[in-house]
Amino acid sequence: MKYLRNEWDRAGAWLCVTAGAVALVVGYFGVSGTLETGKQLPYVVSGGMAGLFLLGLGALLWVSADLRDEWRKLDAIDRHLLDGGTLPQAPAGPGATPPEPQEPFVPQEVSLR
Amino acid sequence: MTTTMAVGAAATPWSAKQRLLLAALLLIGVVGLIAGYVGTSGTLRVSRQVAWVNVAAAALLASGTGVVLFLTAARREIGRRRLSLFGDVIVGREEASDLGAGVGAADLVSAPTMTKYHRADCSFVAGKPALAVATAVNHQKIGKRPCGVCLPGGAS
Repeated sequence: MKYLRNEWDRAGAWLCVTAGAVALVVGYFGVSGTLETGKQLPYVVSGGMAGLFLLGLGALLWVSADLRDEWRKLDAIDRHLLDGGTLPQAPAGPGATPPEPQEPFVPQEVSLR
Repeated sequence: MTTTMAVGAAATPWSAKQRLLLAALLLIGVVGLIAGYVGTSGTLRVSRQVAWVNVAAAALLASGTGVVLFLTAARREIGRRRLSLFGDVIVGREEASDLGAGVGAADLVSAPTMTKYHRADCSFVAGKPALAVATAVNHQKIGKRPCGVCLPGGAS
């Protein structure tokens, strides 16, 4: 359930790809079950084309999830740079030791590779 | 729930206009496919069905175009943002290399298992751990020879 909630786009992608594959198989059996072209064409549209549409939709959802992840990562780096490049502090409790004074922030080269 | 956003950054790489365009083209795809199915299954005459097959194919093409536009727009936006955050990595690397060329002997590195010493930016030492920095004279004292590719210290 948690996966579905957090990764709805990837779950949707799997669902679409599965449905697309099923549609293609159904379309194939529909077309191969008759020799009459007039009866085959509805299967070409509903099975073949709809199957391709669903596969494309699945790919869209999966790739857009990756792109969204990358965007969030850039967001985190952006925030980190705006915060002065410091690591987040642990909350001070009654027994917690006081944080050591930090060195002044020196910008460093960051590479995504 | 609140989320902290970097100043001037959108929540997703897509604008509302791009999402609307994708939704419209996907809708055209769905409607076209349904119309194509209903049209082809309503008759057994192939000459009439062909037109509906064309409708479905055009709808599929439209939705495919929408998908490609949507994904390339995001790719472009992410590239733009990376450039604004980190600058042009290739240009930066060339500048660093130019600077390194004028620094001199202090930039010469080697490792205990190596028989040659290199410039710090030589591709032969890229990513190698435990590199020792020394002058050309000190490297040569322990029997190391200059790299023939990066030519440290102007060796030829």
